[in-house]
Formats: sequence, structure tokens, C-alpha cells
Amino acid sequence: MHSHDGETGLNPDLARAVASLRDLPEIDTAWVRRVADTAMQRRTIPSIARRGFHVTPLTAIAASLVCVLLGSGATALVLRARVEPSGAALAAERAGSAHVRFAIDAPAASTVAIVGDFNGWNPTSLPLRRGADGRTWVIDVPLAPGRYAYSFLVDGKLARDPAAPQARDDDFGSSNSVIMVKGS
Amino acid sequence: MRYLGVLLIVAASQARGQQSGVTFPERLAADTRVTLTRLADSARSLGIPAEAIAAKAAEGVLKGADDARILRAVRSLVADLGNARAVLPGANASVLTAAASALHAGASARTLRELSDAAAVRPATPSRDADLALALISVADLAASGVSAERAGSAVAQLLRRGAPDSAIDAFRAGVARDVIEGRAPDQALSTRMRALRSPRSP
Repeated sequence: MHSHDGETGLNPDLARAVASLRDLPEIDTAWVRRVADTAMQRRTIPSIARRGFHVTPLTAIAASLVCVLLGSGATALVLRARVEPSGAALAAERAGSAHVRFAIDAPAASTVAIVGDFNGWNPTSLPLRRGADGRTWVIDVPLAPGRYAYSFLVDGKLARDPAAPQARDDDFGSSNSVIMVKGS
Repeated sequence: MRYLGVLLIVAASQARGQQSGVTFPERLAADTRVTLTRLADSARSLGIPAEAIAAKAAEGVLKGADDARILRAVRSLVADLGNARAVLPGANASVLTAAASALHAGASARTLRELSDAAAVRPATPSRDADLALALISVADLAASGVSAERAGSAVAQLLRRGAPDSAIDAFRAGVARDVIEGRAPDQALSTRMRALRSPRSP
């Protein structure tokens, strides 16, 4: 089952990772004092000096800060990429897509996903989340205008959407649920 | 230099993997996957979206179809997409997929051109392609309801030329489908709905 953080709507692991980025790390004051003392004395760092480099402590501190900032930026970018919609979803939004809510009543199910023309019939890319009532599974999918055949996957088995019209599938002999997303 | 060599090998292997740009489910036999990859590669070289091919194969796998049936379905789709590309050379992926659906439902190349011409008289907005795609899908759905594909195409083209929004075209399609379910003859249902649309505007 896929749970989400109530406040942010994120997966709990992801929510913890985001929260840890928001919280500033504790600063070791003794270490800061030692660095400041070294900087004041303008001594070169011995281990670096032995290799023939002469870097003043202030330069080293500045370089460290740049590294930390770059690292934080990269981490934040990775997390943004995971939190924000996929490229296809963003493209659909730019094209004037609607967020379509799909829901199915399946109280005994342990996993529910949706497969269809909009996700290449991929059984893992669009898992539904169990609603507050404990019975209904829901997902909001950004869809550009068009007609989409789809089906639910309830515990790995295809299940039609009882709330949607069906279309016969000539290719594989079963029917799909169909949704038409209007653009204007 | 050693690292540069490794990087070049990785880049080359990634580029080769992206040739078809799609993957097929592991459940399919290796030779089926090879055939599907070749179909996807040649489709892409013709400007046909390979993703639609991968999606059709994945749908077949999910529905428990055997490899032969999946290959048949994919070949049929590729043929429809190829014919659609020949009729509408500048179409984007969504228009092309919709046109393939219309052809699959029995629409002719002439109907596709008529719809494309009708959509072209609309203002050149980003939604014009979406309008055409929905019009093509509406024709496919009407034909699936039993309406003659040519008559369905002609009716929807009229609506497009009159500037009907997507919602009106979809309401028209849904109305005809409802009438057919209620027992009206498909072509008669289409004519009646068209007359009903025309009458309030006629002088």
C-alpha cells in the first residue's frame, strides 16, 4: 500500500529527506573556534603544504563553503526531480491538460494501480493511494485532451472502471474503460 | 585518458540503447522482443511514435495474450500508424495515434484529409492539433457505434468548420452513442443529431 504524508502529500521517506534539508545541521562550535584561530594566525595547512600546495586557511574555508553549497544545491535538485511531476506530466500540463481523478472501491485490496494509454500500460508507474474512508483508492492524473483506454490493476488483476464506459478491444479480446478528456 | 575511454564507451552504449527508445516486457520471448524492437526502430525512422508500439505490447502482456497475438496487434497498429502518417505527414504524435484509430475503425484516407482540412480553418492556436485529434477519435467512436465511418467523418468535419468546441463535438458523439444504445439506427441517429444542431442556427 502506498501511504503519503498528510501535510505535504509526500511519501514518508521522501518527506523525511526534505525535512532534513530544511533543518540546518548543528554546528560544532569548538571546530569553528579552531578554524577561526588558524585563520587568524594565517598558517598554511601542513598536510597540503607537504604536497607542495600552499593554501591559506581562509581560501580553504571559502572552498569548503562552495563545496557545501554546490552539494546542497545538487541534493535539492535531485529531490525536486523526485517530488515534481514527470517530464511527460509537465508537458501535458503545458498543453492544457486536466487533472483527472480516477477512483475505485476496493476495500480488501492491498495494491491498486492504473494502466492505460497515458502511461504505456506500465503496471508500476501510477499506483493509487487508499482514501481516508479505507475503501476507495484514488489517483489524480494530468491528462492532455484526448481519448484514453485504461484499466485498474487490483492486486495485480485487471479490473474495469465501473463508472466509465467500456470499449471493445479487438486486439486482445477484452474491453477497456475509456475516458475522453476535452480541451475546450 | 583511461577515464575518458570508459566515458566514451558508456555514452556509446547509451546512445545505442536509445535507438528504439522503448523497452518491451521481459515476459515476452527473446525473439519476440527482437522483432518488436525492429518494428519500433523502423517505425521511429518513419516518424511514427515508438511509444505507442511499446504500449500496445505491454497491454497485450497485461491481458495475458500470447506472443503471436501481440505481434499481430502491433503489426496492425504499425500499419495504421504508417497509413495515417502518409495521409497526414505533418501530424504530431497524438493526431497520428487518433488518425490510426479512425483508420482502424473504417475511416478512409479521404475522411482523414477532410477532417484535417476542416481543422485547418480554425485559428492557429496550440489547441488546434488537440481539436483535430479529438475529432478523429470521435469519428472512430461513432464508427464503433455502428455509424458509417464516412458519414461520421463528414458530420464531425462540418462541426469543426462551424467552430464547434471540443465539448460540443464530444456531446454530439455521446448523444449519437446514447441514441444507438436506445435502439435507433446508427446512421439515422447521426442525421437526427446533426439536424438538431443545425436548426437553431438556421435563419
